[in-house]
Amino acid sequence: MTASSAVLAPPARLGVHATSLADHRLAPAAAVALAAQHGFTACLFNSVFDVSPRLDAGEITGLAALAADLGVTVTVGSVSLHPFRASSDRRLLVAGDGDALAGLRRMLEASALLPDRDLLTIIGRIEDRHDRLVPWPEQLRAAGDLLGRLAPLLRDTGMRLAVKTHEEITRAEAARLVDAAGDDVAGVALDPVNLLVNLDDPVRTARELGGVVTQVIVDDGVLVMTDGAVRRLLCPVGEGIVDWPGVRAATGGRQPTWWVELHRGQFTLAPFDMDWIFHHPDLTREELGAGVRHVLAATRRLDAGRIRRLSAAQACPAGRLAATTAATCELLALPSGPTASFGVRASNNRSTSD
Amino acid sequence: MPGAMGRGPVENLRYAHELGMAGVFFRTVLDMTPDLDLGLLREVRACADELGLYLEAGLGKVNPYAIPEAPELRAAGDGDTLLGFRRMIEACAAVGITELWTGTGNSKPYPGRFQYDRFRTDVSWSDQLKATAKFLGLLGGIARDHGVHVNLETHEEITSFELVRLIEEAGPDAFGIVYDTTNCLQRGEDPIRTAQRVAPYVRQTHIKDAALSLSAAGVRYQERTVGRGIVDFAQILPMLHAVNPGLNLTLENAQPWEEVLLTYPTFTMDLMPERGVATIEVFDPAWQAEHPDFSVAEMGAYLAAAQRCDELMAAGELAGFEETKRSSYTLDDAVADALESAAYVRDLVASLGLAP
Repeated sequence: MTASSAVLAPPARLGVHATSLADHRLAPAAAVALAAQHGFTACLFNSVFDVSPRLDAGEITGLAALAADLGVTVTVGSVSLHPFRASSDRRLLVAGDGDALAGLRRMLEASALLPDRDLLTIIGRIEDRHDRLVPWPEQLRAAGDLLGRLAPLLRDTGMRLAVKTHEEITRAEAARLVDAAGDDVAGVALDPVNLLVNLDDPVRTARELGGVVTQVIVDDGVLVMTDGAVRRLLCPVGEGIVDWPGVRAATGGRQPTWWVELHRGQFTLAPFDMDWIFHHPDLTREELGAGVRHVLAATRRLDAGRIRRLSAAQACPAGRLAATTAATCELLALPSGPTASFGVRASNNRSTSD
Repeated sequence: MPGAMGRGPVENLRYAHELGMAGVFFRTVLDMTPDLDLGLLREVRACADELGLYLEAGLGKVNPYAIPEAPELRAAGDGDTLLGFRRMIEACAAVGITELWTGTGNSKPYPGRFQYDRFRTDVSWSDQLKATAKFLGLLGGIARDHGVHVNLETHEEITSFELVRLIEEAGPDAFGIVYDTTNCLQRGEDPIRTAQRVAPYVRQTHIKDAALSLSAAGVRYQERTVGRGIVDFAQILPMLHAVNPGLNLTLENAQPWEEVLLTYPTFTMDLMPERGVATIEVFDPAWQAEHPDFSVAEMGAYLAAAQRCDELMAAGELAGFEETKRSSYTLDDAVADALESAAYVRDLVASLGLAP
């Protein structure tokens, strides 16, 4: 270790989610090129299947080499690991010749061809939380069992999962999953705009989970009350309610990777609905109170015109890429990359998942 | 009752009868007769019986930290406070007044939480509750000897959780609840949940209404004429009736402002420029810390009630806060409100099939 590196922490790594570079689907090589043009040093794909559907080693390392020439690291996530759906994931079944567990091993081995070891992982979807046939706590227990079952595979391949604080899972639930699995095989991908959907405080979450946060997902949003419902409206970083300097301070010591990911999901939350509260058993009165107060204050601050403009922009998240990237570079004290001078085409390509 | 202070107890009964009311609830027996004149009380009883009116009354505050603020309680016992309570109970029992109102605190003319004795800084609320429980222990024997119930009000400083615990500990054979239908809205309680908790013990009532509205500073509270607020009497009255079919429903409308000053000389317009309004600081962690029973579910139900009220106001089904705001409140206003409230409650009781 040199004297200077002992004093100065290495600069944070800022990458971009491939789906956030444009409002239409990009081929992997095009995504990598665009990421480089924006000044990102890493490009994240949903899973290695997006890089090479057949998990072809040559194709994977080929893209990695092409990207490396542009100063970009190719990074992948895992397929979604919902305990009741993963085993019927067609990609895993094909990769494992009908055996999903074997397919998962192949996915991990293929992912291990790339330099990063943390696989961004989503557990479920918002509707899973409100499933009345199989209640969410049962799904969580099964998810915990599944992660436990995958642990040997993860150790074998030297990979770790980064469980995303996705819209269906709360801070406390994600923390319990990761605790149970062990931090040698699982960490957390802190996604503040999704925490808002469950009234989890991003800074508190960052403080509590700081030790296991391996990735931070950058985006911003406001919560506003319209017609009696509370809606999350996404917006460029710095214009929303996420206290990004606070999140940065709470996670800084661990050097997580930062990903710009422009979410698409349009969610409402119902803090005035007893059923919604019942489905958030970890929510404290402090958080409920702070969350509702925040909503009321934000709603009061935002004029109807701004709410209309934000609502209209939800379907075209790439429109906030330049502003979010610039704000994140400033937050992380990184030199700002060239902003997009090439047109980003808007499309109606919308996902219901963040 | 509008203008009550200017009349004697018998005149008040006659006036209530003129207004078409079915009874009168004197706050304390000392309001009828400061020196516990049994002859006068018998006259009051005779008048009530003649007019077919129910007659209810009360004692005073039973929180030993609040009792010194009402020196007449100690004076009633010639310096012996417990004797004062015994004499008041004896006097009431002698004329068949057996349901006796009491309370646990006194409202104060200060802003925010200092309006409530709950937030006293010289003595904690839990110490006040403990002292109250001990004092109820002293009153229990006297109440049982005289066949009366000492009924504690869901007054604005106490929660229904705390009140129910006090009653259960002191013994429901001698103690009960005076259910004020809006005070618990100032403690972050949803009126339906409050009613569910207190219903088994309710022996007297203060029927009031209020509106709530969400704001970043907290939940805004505004007293209203009965029927113009968020209290869902159509749900609450059957709950009370199921346990106590003979329960009297007593309106407790706002006093004309000039009477407020006579009753509470410290409630000046300088200190209290707005009457019947409050902001309940439920979002403030310090407020929450003083409400150990205020769970997430309780908070959710309370915020939901406020949000529902906001929706009703936005839809024009309830009047808004600004248009309901009063710049004055006269005797005539109070009479009109009392009549409107009575008509509302009577119609509702009839439509619910609860009329005696």
